[in-house]
Amino acid sequence: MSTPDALLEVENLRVDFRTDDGVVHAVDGVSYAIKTGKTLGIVGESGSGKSVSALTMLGLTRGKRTDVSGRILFEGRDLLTLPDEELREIRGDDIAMIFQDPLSSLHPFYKVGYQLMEAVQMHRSVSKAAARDRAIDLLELVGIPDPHRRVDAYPHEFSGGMRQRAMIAMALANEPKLLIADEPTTALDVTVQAQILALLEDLQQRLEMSVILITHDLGVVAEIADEIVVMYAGRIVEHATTERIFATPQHPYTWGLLKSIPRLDTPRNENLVPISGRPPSLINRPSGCHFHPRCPYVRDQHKRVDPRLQAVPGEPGHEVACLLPVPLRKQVWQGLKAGQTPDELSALIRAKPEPEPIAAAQPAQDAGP
Amino acid sequence: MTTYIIRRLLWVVVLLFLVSLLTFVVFYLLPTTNPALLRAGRDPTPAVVALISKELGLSRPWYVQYFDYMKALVLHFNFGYSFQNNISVKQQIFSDLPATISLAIGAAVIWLVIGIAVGTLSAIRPRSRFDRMAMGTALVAISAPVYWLGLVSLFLFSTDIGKIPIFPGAGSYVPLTQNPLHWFTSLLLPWLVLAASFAAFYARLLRSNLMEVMSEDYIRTARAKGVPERRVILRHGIRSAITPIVTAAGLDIGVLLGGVILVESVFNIPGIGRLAYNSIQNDDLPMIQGTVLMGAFFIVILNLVVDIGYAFIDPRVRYS
Repeated sequence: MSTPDALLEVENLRVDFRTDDGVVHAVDGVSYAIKTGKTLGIVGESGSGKSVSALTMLGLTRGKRTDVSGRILFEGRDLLTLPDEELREIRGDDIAMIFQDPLSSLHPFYKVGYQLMEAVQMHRSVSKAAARDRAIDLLELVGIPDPHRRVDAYPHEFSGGMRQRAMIAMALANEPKLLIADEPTTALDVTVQAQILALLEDLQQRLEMSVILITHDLGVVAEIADEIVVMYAGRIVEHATTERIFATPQHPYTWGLLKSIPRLDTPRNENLVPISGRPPSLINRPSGCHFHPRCPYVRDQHKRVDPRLQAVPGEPGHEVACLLPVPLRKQVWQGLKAGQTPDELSALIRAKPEPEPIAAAQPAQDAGP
Repeated sequence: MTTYIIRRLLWVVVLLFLVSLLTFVVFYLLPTTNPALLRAGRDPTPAVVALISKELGLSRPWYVQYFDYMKALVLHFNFGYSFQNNISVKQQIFSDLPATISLAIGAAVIWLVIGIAVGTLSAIRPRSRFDRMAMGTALVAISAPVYWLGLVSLFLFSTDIGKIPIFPGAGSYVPLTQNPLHWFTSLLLPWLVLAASFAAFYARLLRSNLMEVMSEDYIRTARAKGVPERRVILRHGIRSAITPIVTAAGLDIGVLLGGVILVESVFNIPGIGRLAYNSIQNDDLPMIQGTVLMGAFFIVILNLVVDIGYAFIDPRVRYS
């Protein structure tokens, strides 16, 4: 799958960590692409592989006990085979990243200004004074009041929201083409979350950056992502434009995520529906469809057959990895939207006979013990 | 900050006062020989002993003696005179101090350089061959008692009794002001012996600290903004991991400045440690009192220096 005018293309990325407990299959055959100036949301629970795929792009997962395969093409260059030094030159320059917890992500012993200047000076040979001016400009750009004074403050003298603004400023230091934001709002309170997201959106438009927004919260990506990738247990289970994900979601896991977002327009008597169970172990993954132990609509066949990411009929660009028949998926989503519980709907499904084996599905390859 | 320092200095005075009181009380409560016997020479008559006792003021109650002692100390900075040979305690301590300072500071330089270098190399390549060897050696160095290590090193390397005579042996110390080169060579072996266990301990301390720091989020941030790995380790990693090292070094140096009893004894270096040891052997209260106060002074002052230094190392620490 090759996407024209893509800035970054991830092809069949696999990342395995060899640990003392066994091999952790953190990312398992993931492909996506991002176009210039667009925003891709990667959504999933912790341990779904969403952060690892981003860290791997920057070479931050490289190590003796890490096995990586696939390709990550950035402007025609494969980041996975790039020597450490060339990749370092890209980091913080063409591709920048911001992280979840801005307090622990800033060095506690250095002034914010120093850390910003360092980001500039690592990639541009500018004088100290020029780097400092740039640091002040950056703080102003991200909306920190009184940047001339704040440039000499330490991270602990900033509020949570201001720290994240400073992190964003640091990431923007060299006007990157791609910004990876890994849970940028998770550690912040709700009002600050909204401000930071608005800031990101505004900066993206002004600087014409591409953005990868990694989050566990579909509500966060709803506003600003153009496309959404839903990940589960190291794989993509659904991929579509943001409108499609919200209008016609196909995967039971996506339904679960959607039904667990609190909304102002939900009737008072309607409860949020949590996704039952826990994220699977990435060392011994469930057989068949990895989601089957938590899926309310599971059938015997799903425990054996590993679903492949397939196009949804009639919806170009919408892909899903689910073994449920298309009409049934539509019926269940309609039911969920109407306020029926997964339990009621799964009873409905069990009443129907098991369908013929799905032609395109492949047999389970790595069924866990 | 200033009020903090003043408050701490007042505490230093209180603490030193308590230390002197305690030393005095312990000396009088423990059964010791009569100090007057020390001065009386061989086979003294009871009359002579009684006379000397009266001269030294030993027949008075201990608290009167203590009061007199403190009065002389506070008003005239006079630490009294040795029971044994009537030498001024102050003079004796000031003449022995340079040897102890030379020994402690020189060893500290060696153990900090070795400890930080080895700890860093071990931390960035954990479980490598270098790391395993270094940590194995460190375990041996920490376990080896310093007097044993001192004797073995003399046996192996000293010019008088050594198998490989390359270093001057025990008792070769000369002051820095007299002959700097001789001072340096005579102290090399004592420095290495004293530094061995400290270097091992510091290497292990820095290794574990640095390994922990290198998994911090802000190290990931530094890498993500394209900082070269060398700079990540030196500027971002060690900068944080060094803090406990600074604390430990301050305290250890403080303790050693009060006298390096074992090493000074093994190498026969005329320092505070050997002075204290000899004074204890001779029940020489004024001299014991002087060395104890000296030691306590260095420990509390270095403690204060460490605490103040902390505020400069870690900007999050502010004293009020």
